[in-house]
Amino acid sequence: MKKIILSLVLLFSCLLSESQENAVKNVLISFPYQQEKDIAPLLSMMDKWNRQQWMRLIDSLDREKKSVAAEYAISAYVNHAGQQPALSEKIIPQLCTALTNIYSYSGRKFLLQQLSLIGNNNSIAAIIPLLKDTILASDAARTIAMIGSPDAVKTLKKAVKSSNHFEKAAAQSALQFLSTNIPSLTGISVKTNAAPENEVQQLLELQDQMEKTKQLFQKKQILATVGRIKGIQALAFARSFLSDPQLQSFTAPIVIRQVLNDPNLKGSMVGQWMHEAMQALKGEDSAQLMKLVNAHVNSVDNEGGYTSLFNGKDLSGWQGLVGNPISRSKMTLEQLATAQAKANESARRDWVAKDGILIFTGHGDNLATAKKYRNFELWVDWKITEKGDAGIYLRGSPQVQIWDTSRREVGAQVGSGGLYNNAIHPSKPSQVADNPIGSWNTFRIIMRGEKVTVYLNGKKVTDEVTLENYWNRQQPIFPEEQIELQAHGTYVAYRNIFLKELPDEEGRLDSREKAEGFNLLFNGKDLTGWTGNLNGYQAENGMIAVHPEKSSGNLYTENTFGDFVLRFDFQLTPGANNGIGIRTPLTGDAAYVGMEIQVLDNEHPKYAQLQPYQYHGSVYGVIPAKRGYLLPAGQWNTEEISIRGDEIKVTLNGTVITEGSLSSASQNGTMDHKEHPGLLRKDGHIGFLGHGDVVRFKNIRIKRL
Amino acid sequence: MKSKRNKSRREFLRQTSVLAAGISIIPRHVMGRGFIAPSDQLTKGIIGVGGMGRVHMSYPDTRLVAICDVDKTHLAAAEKIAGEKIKSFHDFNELISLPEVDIVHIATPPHWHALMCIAAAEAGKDIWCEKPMTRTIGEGLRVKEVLQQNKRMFRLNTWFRFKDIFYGMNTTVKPIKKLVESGLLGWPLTVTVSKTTGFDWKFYWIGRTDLTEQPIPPELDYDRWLGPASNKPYHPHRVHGTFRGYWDYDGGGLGDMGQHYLDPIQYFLGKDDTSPVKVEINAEQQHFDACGTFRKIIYTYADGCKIILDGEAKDAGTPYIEGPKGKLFAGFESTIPNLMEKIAAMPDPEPQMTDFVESVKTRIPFALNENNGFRSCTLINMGKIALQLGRDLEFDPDKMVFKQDEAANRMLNPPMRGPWHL
Repeated sequence: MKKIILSLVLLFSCLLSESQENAVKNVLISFPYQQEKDIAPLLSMMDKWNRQQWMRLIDSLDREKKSVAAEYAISAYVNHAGQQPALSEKIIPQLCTALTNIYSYSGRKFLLQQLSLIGNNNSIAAIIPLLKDTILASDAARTIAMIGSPDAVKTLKKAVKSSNHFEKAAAQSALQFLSTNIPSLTGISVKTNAAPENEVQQLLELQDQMEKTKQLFQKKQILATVGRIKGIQALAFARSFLSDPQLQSFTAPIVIRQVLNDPNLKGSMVGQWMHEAMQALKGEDSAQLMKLVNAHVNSVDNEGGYTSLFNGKDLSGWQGLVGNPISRSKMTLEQLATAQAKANESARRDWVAKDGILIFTGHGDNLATAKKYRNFELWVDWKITEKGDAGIYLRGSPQVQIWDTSRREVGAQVGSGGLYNNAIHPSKPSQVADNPIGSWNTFRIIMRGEKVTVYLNGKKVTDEVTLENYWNRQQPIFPEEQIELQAHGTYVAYRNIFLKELPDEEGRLDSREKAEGFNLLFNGKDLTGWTGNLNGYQAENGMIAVHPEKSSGNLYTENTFGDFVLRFDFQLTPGANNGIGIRTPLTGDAAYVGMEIQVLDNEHPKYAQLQPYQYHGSVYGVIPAKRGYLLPAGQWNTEEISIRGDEIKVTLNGTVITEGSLSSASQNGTMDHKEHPGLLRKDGHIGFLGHGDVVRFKNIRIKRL
Repeated sequence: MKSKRNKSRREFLRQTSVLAAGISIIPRHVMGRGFIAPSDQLTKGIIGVGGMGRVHMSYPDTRLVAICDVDKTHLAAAEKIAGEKIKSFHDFNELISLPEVDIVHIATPPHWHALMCIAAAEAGKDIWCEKPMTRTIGEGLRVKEVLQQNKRMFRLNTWFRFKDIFYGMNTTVKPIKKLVESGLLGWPLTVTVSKTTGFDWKFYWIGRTDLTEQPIPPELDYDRWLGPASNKPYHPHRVHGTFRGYWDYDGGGLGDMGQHYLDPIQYFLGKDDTSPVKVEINAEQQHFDACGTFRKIIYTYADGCKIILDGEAKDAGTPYIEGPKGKLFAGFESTIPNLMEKIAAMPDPEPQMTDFVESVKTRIPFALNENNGFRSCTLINMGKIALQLGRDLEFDPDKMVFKQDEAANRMLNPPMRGPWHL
């Protein structure tokens, strides 16, 4: 009976071991796997393996024909178990036991390698004996080091004191690893250069760097970065290297691409720079770029765009300051000319233009543009020294403030860029954006109507604030005047001064006119409300422009007006002739069937023989006008025509040039001795009376009386 | 470790040339066209003059003064090529300590790169190192640190980010960079590196699992060849032309071509300052010692950009770069009309310092240096860890550690065999 039981037990255990044997065999033939998913069921099965099964598999490491498959199988399981603590807890002791059971060095090396990945504190004891093994000492020490627990450190410290040379050396370098390397792998933070705040600030920094470096390569790096910055100042900076023989061919494609990629960069100056760049262009993309430039030139209209106000060399385009807009308007032309000559002389003394920089030496008066500007975008760099004070006058009036922000005693801590002289509207900037004293700053000033927006170093500091008229606080700011660089007794330097004239804002009246009851007669966009020659007259860029080549004939308002004040700006081409029809019907010669207020470049030599009743501003043939108040052809003039009943008055650029009564002027026959039935009309249309010349009108507004 | 750096010959040269600048005795043109005085020309010493190292001997613009190898056959072959008297060494430390050496070229297997870079940097040498930069991420970090502490110039030797036709793209990397930066393809982008897009993974770099110990040839100092690597029994397949097949020294096809293929991608994707947040693998099981092949390795960056290494190349229509707005195929074919014209109008990328001699003279970092080279090598080393562990991994590119994967993190910086250590 006993025998039977014994043999049954034996048989059973044989069967059991046979099935264990089969399971291991199955595992061995399944590795290495091709797809991880194929062995997933096998790995789950191995999760339930007992000690004997593991021993069988691990023992295969010592069997030449099975050892590689065993390595694959065990490492696959170690990788599988490594992600689940419960499973690694179970497999680690098997690996540790195997360290003493496995005979081959390659097998034990493999086991140490597996333990280096998932081994824990409990594995250390099994590894310690291998520290004394000539061949395995280093692997054992490194495995302990990778476990890295306090016990691991303790173990290695003890091993360093060993008399066994291999143990000592292996432990020493493992400890070295622990002391120097693990910490350096944690808490690494990537060091990257702080990105510049904005492109304007970046450009200032790049300009500084360019001045400092002598390395051609660094110059190229800077230029390449400049090429990615939009705007006129970046373009101008890059363009300045077209004249550097070492850099011109590198710079040429940069300049061309800046223009191609920024629709705001246009106009004759930019066109000239493009031309310069094309001359210097060579290399890989030349052919493509030439093609693109030609297409670009044909598609971009060159109206408007930026101009440079400062040529970097001298005071061309600038003049000394005479009085203020009001005092100047009261001077005769001769008086003004004399005063201007004197002012120019002192300006040449007080302001120095050199190497691209315009410097005020600290004594003297403001420097003013020779030209007057209406609406514009102005870029200007400035730099002051300690205690510095300066500013930019707009439309001849103070000012966009510049000052040393440390001057708390005068309130300068608010920063530069405010409209300092405002009494009602905000006078302080919304934030401090000044760069440190001694470094450059960039203003971008936009003036449209009476509103001013200021960006300082890329940050908006003044947002659409009304600029008050400092010279007569009862009046709104002048519609057009010179720009001035303020002299306030301290050193100030300016550079990179660029200006773009802006069209009048569409459909916008200044607040005062609105309150007075003015309305826009022209919406700035299209000829809604107008009739007649809609082909020869066109709305463009906020203006009504005459294109005589397209069609002849007059343009009339759809509405009729009797008594009114009509205000508008106009620009003549040399010798141009046009006229404003008032109280006129839609047909007939408006000068007779209605009235014509003459519009004429009467300074042109071809009009030397004019009668006063033909001068600009005259009620044509009826009431003469004063000559001499028109600005040269090409400049914008401001005009007001006021008619109430019989009384008519024409004011040109602030001066009344025509004034009179229609009835008394025609009582004894008109000056031109012609019939003027239109004088009797009480109302009618307002019209532009085309005479075949190019003339532009804008900012046309009207108030009925 | 204490810095062993002395004033290098090159710095001495630079200082004296500054002093002598105003009092040039013999004008250059008197000496003839292209003449460079021997004393002005930078000198180099090459460590590892096997196949790659012997190619380095003929690189222009520098004068070879010393070589080093642990295989006497290599050394003899190189001496023969040099044809003039140069110093030859068995111990790289001796080459590095030569005062007349300006630049140390490291052309050994990758498991030596870190130790030699560190030793050379601490000796005040500038370094030209073969790819892949280092065998582990930890080694790369340490190399970066030591180079920067010692203000050394470093060139990692793969060049596609700045010159030569970029494999199957039929163009240099520059227009690809411009296209990517233009936004014409949209964002994020997926770049597929496979045979179909013109990039062969060269899977002949696989290791053998059936190696039996062979006698070490007398000309080879095998222990020195192993250096910091585990002392595994010698077999000729482990060394010289076939070492790339073993994780102890390199990383198979990925280690071999990885940095050539991936460094330019990292450059045009603008990832020189970061690393992926995820690496996913689809591969046959890797042996613990011998490298195998892979079907796919997919890297994902934080912004969603992906780099797919496709070892199978089954889909012939795969674009090289795919974005939400367009595709770029092998040979620079694209779905975008008038592509060349659009690219011509785009700003060029920032110029790169592509002349290492100039970099050494001006101290302006080389185009592919220890910073961006470390990042592109990290791609390789992350992929190697995922392959070896047979699983996908998540990574923190700021802390440079894997997320919640202890085994993977242990592989970031495993200790070296003593007495070698970082």
